Amino acid sequence: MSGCSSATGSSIGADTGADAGCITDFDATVDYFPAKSEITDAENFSLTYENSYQILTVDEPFSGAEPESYVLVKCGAPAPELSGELADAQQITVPITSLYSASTTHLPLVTELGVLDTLTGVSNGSFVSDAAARDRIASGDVVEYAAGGTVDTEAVVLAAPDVLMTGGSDDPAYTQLRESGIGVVANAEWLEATPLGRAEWIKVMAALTGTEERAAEVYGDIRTRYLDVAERAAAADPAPVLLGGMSQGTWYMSSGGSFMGKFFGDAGAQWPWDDVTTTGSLPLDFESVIAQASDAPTWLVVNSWTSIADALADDERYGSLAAIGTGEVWNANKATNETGGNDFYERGVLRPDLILSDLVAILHPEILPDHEFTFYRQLPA
Amino acid sequence: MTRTDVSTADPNGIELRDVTIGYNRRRALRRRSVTTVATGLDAVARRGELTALVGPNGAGKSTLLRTLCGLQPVLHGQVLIDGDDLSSVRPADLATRISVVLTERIDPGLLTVRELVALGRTPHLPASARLSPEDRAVVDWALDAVGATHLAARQFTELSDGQRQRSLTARALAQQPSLLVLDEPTSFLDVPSRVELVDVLGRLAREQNLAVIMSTHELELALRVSDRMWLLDADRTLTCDTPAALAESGRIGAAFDRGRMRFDPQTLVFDLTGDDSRA
Amino acid sequence: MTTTLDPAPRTQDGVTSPPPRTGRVAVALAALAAALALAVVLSVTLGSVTVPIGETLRILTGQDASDPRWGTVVRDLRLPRTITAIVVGAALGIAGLQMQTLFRNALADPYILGASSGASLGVALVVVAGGGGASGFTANLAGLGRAGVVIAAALGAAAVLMLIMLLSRWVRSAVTLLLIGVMLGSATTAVVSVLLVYADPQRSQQFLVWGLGSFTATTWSDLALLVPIVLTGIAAALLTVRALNALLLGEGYARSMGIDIRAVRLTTVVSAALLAGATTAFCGPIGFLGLIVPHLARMAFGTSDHRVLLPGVALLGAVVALVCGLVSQMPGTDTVFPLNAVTALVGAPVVITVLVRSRRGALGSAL
Repeated sequence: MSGCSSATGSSIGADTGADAGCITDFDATVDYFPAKSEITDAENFSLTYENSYQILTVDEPFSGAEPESYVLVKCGAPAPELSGELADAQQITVPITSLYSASTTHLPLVTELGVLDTLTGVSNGSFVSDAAARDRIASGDVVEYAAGGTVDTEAVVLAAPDVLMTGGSDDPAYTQLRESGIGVVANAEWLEATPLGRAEWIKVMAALTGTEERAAEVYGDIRTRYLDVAERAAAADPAPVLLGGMSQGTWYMSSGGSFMGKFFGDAGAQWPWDDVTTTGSLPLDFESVIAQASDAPTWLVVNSWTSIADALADDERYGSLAAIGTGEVWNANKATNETGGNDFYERGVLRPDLILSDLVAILHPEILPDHEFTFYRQLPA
Repeated sequence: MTRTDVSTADPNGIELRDVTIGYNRRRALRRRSVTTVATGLDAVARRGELTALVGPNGAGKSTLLRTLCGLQPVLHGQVLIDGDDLSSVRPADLATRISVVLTERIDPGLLTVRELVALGRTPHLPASARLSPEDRAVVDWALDAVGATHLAARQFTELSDGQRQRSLTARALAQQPSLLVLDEPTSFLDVPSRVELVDVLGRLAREQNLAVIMSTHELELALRVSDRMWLLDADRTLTCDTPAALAESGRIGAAFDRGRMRFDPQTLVFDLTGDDSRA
Repeated sequence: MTTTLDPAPRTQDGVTSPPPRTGRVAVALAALAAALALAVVLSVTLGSVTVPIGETLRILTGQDASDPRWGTVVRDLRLPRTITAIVVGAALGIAGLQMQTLFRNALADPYILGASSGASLGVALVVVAGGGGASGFTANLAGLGRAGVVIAAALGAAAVLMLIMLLSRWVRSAVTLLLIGVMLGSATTAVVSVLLVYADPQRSQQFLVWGLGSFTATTWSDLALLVPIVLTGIAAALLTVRALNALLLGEGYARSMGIDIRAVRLTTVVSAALLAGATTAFCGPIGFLGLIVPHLARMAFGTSDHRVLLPGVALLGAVVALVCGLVSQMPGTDTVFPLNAVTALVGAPVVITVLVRSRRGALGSAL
C-alpha cells in the first residue's frame, strides 16, 4: 500500500493540523510525526512512533481476541518493510480521507477533532444523535452501509473508504473488507476499564487523521475537569445510592469493579456492593436489595422511564424504596433524541467529565451548585 | 345381482338398502372427486346372529365396514340400524348403538383391562368421566360375558394377543350397542385363540341379542360358525345368505378358487386338486 | 340366559367390584399434598434475607412486622413468587399432559404448538427491534416497559396459536398438526435469532434475561391477571377429561365412541394456549416442567387415567415448580440462579433416571 489519494489529500483543510498534505520528497531521517500522542489512561491500545510510520496496537480488538497491530504510514512515505508479527499487519496511509464508522461513539471524536468531513459512512443512521452528522447523512455525504443489520460488503468494497473503524466486535464481513484493501481498525474502547481510558481513544482517531495536537488539547481538558471533580467528591462524605433495577424478576446492579461502578465510586457514591471487584452486572435477589439498599435516598438509573409513575408501572414493588418517597430518582436519558438514540452512549463516551459532574451534582449538590445537567435528569412524579 | 332374504325392514339388526359405498377425496388444489367402490348393495344382519363379511382383498370390505360404523357416509341408498337411518342419528347417539373392534394396534399406557373396558362406557358418561355404580356393573358384566374377569386387574400391555382381543371385545360390549362390528378380529391370533374368539362372538350374539358383524379371512371357520355371511366379490357384488346356501350356490368357489385350490361345497373346505383333474 | 341386554346385571356376590388402584392413588395424593405444604412453607420462609419465623407468621396474618422491610420481603416478594410457582407449575403440568395425550407423543411439551416461540417473537420485536427507528407500535410497547413485554408475549403466543387453531380445522391427522406446530415454532425462533444478531448488545441482553424464565417478576397486580387466566385454561381442560381418556385408545376408537375429535382438538389447543401463553407472557418460557411432570405423575400414580392425572399433574407441577424456584433463589446468598438452568439441571437427571428404571409401558414410546 503506497501512494495517497492525492486529489483529496490536500483538500482536507486546515483542521487536520500541521501535518496536512503528503510527503513529496521523502527523507528517511526526518521525523514526520512531530506531534506525538502520549497515552496516560487507556490500557487497551498503545502507539509507537518511527520516523515515517506509527504502530497502533490494540490489545483486545474484540472480546477475547488476540492483539492486533496497524502500521500507519505517513502519506507519501514508502511502505516500510517489517518483520516478525508486523509483517502481516495492515498498512494504512495516514491521514485518512474517508472513514466508515461502525459505532456512534466515533462521531463525537471526529466532531471534536474537526474532521467530520472525513466521515463518509455509518452503519446505521437512526441511532445517530449528533446534529451535524445527521445533516451529513440527510444530504447524502454520509451513507448507511449496514442499515438492514448486515454489512453491505459489496457497497463498502465499491466505496473503498480508507478505514472502517469497528465498534469493538467482530463481523464476518471484516475479513473480506481487509482483503479488498480497506483498513479495518478495531475501536475497542468499550473494553477499557476506566472512564478516562475510554475517552482517551480520541487519540486513536487522531493518529488516523493526523490531529494529535487537537486531541491532546481536547483530552487534556477532559482529564483535568474529571480529576478535579473527582478530587472534590472524594473530600466529601460518601453518599449512599441505589443503582440498577429489576429485569424479569432479578435486580441487576453495578459492582464496584464494573465500568459504571468506577464512575459511581469516583463521584463519591457508596452502596453495599461497591467492594465487589468483578466487572459485570450482579444478578441480585430483590430481597437482598430491599434488605441492604432500600434506604438509599437517591436512585440512579439508565432506561426509558420518563416519570416515577413509569417506574411503578414497571413493578409496583419499587414503591417500598426510599428513593421513590424522596423523589430523588435520576435517569440518564435526558439527552435522548426523537428516534430513541441516547447521547449518553454516544457523546458520554468521550465526555466522562460531563457524566461525572452530573453524578457529583446529584450526590453532592453543594460541590457543584448551579450545575446544568447534560445526561441525567430528575424524574418527575 | 344380489339376493336378499327379507323384503321388509327388520327392526332388529342392520340393513343395507341399495347402498353405494365409496369415498370423497378432497385435495387441496383439486376439485373433489368421488371414488365409488361398490353399488347396489342390499344385505341384512340380524340381532342374535353372527354375520361374517368375507371376500378377496381389495373388494372393499374395509370401506363397507367403515360405512356400517358411520365413519363414512353412504354415497347412495340407506343403512338402517334397528329401523333408523344411520345418517339421521347423531354421532354421540350412534356411539350407544354401534361399537367396534379395530385392527389397529393400540398402546394405552398403564391402563388395566378393567380401565380399558370402562372406556367403553364413554358415550354414556358425563364430561367428568365419572363412573356411576351402574356403569361399574356394566363393566363387570362385559368382562364376564367374554370370560375375561380374571384379567381385570392386569395391565393391558402385558396381555397376549388373544387376551387383548377379548378385552377389546369386552370394551365394545360395555358400550351396550345393538351392533358390534369387528374388523379382522382374528388376524393376530394363533389357531386356538381364533377358534375361542369366534366362539365367544357367536355366543355373545345369541345370548345378548346383538347383531355381530365380523370381517375375516378365516373362510373355513366362518363357514362353520357364522349364522349368515356377506360375500363381497371381486366384481363388487354383495351376496347375503346362510353359509350353506352360499356354499351350494357355488359363489364361494367362484370367488375364491385359485390355481389348484378348489372349494368343496359338501365339506366346506378347500382341497388341493391333482394336476390333471378339473372340477 | 338373558334375551335383552340387562343394564344392571349383578356379579356373583351381588356387589360391584371396587375401582382399582385407589389405594395407590390415595397414598400418592396424600404424599404430594404434604410435599406441597412443605414446599410452600419453605418458599415463604427462606430467601436471601433471614426473616425470623415469628415475624413471618405475624406478617402472614396481616399484622405489621417490627421491620417494615421484612413486611415487604414476605408480602411482596415471597408470597407472590410462591403463588406464581404453584400456578405456573400446575398450568404447565396440565398443558404438557394435554399435549402428550392429544398427540400420543411422550416428548410433547406445552410449547410444542409454538406458544413460547410466538411469545419470544413478540418480546423480541418489542425489546430488540423497538425504538431506534422501528415502527411506532413496537416503540410504543417498548415504552410501556414490563407491561409492554407482557402484552407483546401474549400477543405473540396468541397469534401462533390462532394460526394453529385455524389450520386444525383443515388438517386431518394429529401428527400433521404437530408437525405444523413444530415448523411454526422453528420459523419464529429463526426470526428471533435474526433479530438478535443485529440488535445492539444491551437489547440482546435484555431479551436473553427474559428467556431465562423467572417466578420473581410477577407482582400482585400481575397475579390478578395470571391466576384467572390459568383457572380458565384449567376449566377448559377439565371439560376434555372424558375425551382425553378415550383418546388413549387412538382416534379411531375415540371417534367410534362418539368423541368429536375436531372439537376436542380445538378445546385442547385453546386450553393449552391460555395456560402456556399466559405463563410465558408473565414469567418467560420455562422449560422442562411441562415435559417431565406428566411422566412423573404417571409413575407416581401408576395410571394413565386422566381423572386422576389431571389433578395429579397440577399438584405435582406445583411442587416441582416450587422446588425449582427455591433452588433458583439460592437462599442465604445474594445472587439468583437462572430458573431455566435449574429446571434443566433438576429435570434432566430425573428424566434419565426414570427412563432407565422404568418398565415398558410407563415411558418411552408408550404413554
